[in-house]
Amino acid sequence: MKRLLFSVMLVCVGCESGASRAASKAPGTAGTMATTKLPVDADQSASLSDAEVKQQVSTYLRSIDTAIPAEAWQSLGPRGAAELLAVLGEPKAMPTTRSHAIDGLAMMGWKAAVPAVTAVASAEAEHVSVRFSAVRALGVLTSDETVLTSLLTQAGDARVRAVAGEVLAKREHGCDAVARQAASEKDEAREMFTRALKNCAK
Amino acid sequence: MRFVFRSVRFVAVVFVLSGCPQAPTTPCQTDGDCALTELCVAKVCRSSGFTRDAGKMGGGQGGGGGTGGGRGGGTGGGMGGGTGGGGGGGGGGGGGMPSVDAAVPDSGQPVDSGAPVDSGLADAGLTTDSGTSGVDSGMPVVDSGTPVVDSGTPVVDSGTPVVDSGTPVVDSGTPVVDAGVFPPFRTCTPPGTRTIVVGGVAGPASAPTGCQKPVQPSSLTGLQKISFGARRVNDTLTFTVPPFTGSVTVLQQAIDAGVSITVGGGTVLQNASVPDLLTTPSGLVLYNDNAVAPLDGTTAYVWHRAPSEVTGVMTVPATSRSLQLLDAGMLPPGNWSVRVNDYAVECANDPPLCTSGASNTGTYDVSVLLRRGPVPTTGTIDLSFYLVSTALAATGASTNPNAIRMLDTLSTILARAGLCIGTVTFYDVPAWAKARFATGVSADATDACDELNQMFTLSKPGENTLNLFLVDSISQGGSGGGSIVGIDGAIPGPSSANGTVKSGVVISIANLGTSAQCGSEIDVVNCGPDQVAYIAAHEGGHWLGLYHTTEHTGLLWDPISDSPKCTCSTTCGLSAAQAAKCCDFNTGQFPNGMACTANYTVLDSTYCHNTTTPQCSGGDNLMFWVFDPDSVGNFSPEQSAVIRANPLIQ
Repeated sequence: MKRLLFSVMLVCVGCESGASRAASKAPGTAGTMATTKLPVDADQSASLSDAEVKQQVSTYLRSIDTAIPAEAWQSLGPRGAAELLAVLGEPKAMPTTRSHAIDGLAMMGWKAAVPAVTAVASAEAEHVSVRFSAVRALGVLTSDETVLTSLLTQAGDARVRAVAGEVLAKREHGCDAVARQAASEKDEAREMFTRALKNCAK
Repeated sequence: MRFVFRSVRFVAVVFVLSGCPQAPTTPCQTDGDCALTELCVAKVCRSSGFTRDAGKMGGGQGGGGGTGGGRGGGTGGGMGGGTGGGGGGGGGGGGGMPSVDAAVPDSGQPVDSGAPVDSGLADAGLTTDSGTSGVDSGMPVVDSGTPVVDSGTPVVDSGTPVVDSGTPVVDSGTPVVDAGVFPPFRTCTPPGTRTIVVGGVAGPASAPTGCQKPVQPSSLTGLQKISFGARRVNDTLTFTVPPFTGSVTVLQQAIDAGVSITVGGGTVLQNASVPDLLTTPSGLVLYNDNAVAPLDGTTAYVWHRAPSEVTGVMTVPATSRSLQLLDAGMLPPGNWSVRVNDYAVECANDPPLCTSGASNTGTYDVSVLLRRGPVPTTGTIDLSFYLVSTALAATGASTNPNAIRMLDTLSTILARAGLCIGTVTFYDVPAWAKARFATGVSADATDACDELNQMFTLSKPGENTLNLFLVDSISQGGSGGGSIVGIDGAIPGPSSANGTVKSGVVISIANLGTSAQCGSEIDVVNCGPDQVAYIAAHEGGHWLGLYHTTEHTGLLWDPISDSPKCTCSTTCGLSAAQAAKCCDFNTGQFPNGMACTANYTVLDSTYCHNTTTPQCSGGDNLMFWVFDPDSVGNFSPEQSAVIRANPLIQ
């Protein structure tokens, strides 16, 4: 375990769990004990060319099992957000690519994306995995619960209703609506609300 | 080919452990309430595989060994022996383990590890000298750490008869008894011809109540498996690696263990199941969980960077350094040892280390899995797809053009490592499971009781398959949310032990239907089925023991010497501004010495396709951290060797 302790005690950038990601993120066992406080780089701005920003966005969207840290998305700034919005609007793009684009916008806190994300979340014809990302992104990008509540009760796909429930379950007053909706669902659909209800029970 | 195991004693006790039903449970409070061959685990007596009084202490490393009684005996019956045969059955003399004759190849043919191996090489099985009536040297018979060899099923799979040809080597008149054998290699001509099977519904019809942490026996048989049963942490287990063994895997599954520990500073860690002090017959310690690992993974015998709760797996060889242990494709035969271990007992052994969670009573089911060697240059892998989605059903999968395209691409990629896909089984999962996991399992909730790991318990026990769970979405709860397209359960995965909390990888099925841009060539960026196949192969690579060749920082690499690497530096074309933000995760610092807590450069694969600059390559490797239009899914020779050494490959 001391091997691991060396790791976790180091400055662990974006440390997360998950086997491969733990492996990728655990800083290893350099023997540099983290008890040594390292200086923090105060300069958080990126000085990338437009081409570099575009390339970085493209790379982030093609990650396999490595989570892109929120700070990495944020460092791309408005130019990165514009790229992501363009990807989101590209119907031929892979569903997971568009999902990642939404993820990026959410991690950037790019509130200007709310209309586009809302449109995706509400569109019954959209790929369900893209809608999942959109609904979750709304939970981050806006405190307005109108759209989420509407999705909770009116989305045609029970899975989307359930994801809206998950998001609302994290809101201060969301659980009553979630519980009501779950109770009104049929058996299998109600099972989809398990995660949301679990969160409410906490 | 003939091998002779000279055991000093043979106890003819037939135990087909893998199929052994659990005995009726006896409630208990302490070990003393149970039979001597049992331990009190979770207030129930469980068979331990050894006789408590003598065995627990005596088994230990090396010398004690021997042993017998209890569940010892390797095997018996008609096919007798088994590897441990001697060890298992025997009396403790002679240093504890059965002596093993050096393998003498039939007709004196040398074994070239580099060349494809004649599948008949070791198929003739092992001749076990097992019936000796206790020729020990006066040592007491100690029922101890000697493994029990599951050898009840002597010949596996192929129907190839076990032919014990040539002149039996007999030890002083002892009858020669055929032992369990390694099954024949399933060599092939990649990509081979696959068979698709509809597997029905996997998992219980109704949702289980509470968290499931099943302990699953390995599906391997014969010489491939040594079962120790339930063992306490801190126990050192000794096992015999027979000649012609190509890899050793230790599988340690929690029966009763703490969930987490807290280390100084309040950091809570999962109580990882980590086999420790894996040691070769010469005393070489291949892994010490309390030692500082080298910065360069290629110098480590075991690269254990992804500790996991409940189910711990360790395979040798899986690094360049451990590949060097192979002599003509074989690991050193003789008495190896390993210590049952988890983080909780490490806390108990070193109290200042932790503020909570210390325990020296954790109990684990331990098996050692052996892959016959020298490992051939080709092998067969069986796949099971679990369809946790409404996008594809098992009954239609075999004729679904996108699923077929996905399998074709997967075959092409795996063929680069010498693998053929054998049987592909598509399973549906029960409606409750589909509903529960349909909206996206969370990739970063990885406790044993979290959704991801609970989903993996649906994988069908008793099979040795790569289990690929196809879901609609994989979420991650980190800051701001997000999603990824694949994740592994563990590196390496618990091959042959399906149904555990780590028995799977998960892949997003979302792109499978996006096939409008699929052409005649593989296109992982624009063709959905190709992309799903690529992700499946990548996650399968993790299961088989591979790490990312280059991580997203560009300053952390895998433990394989010949895999192409890429470096976060101006040398590879990064701008000076980007290079200034290269984060060395080993030190946590940028080049200027400041801490890289955020805003570091994520290495773009476009800098990693330079064929003339070795430190700027690898973008085409399957295990590169990201894919791009030039991703081919290549493997290096050592990566391929690691993959084929895994017990999943047959």
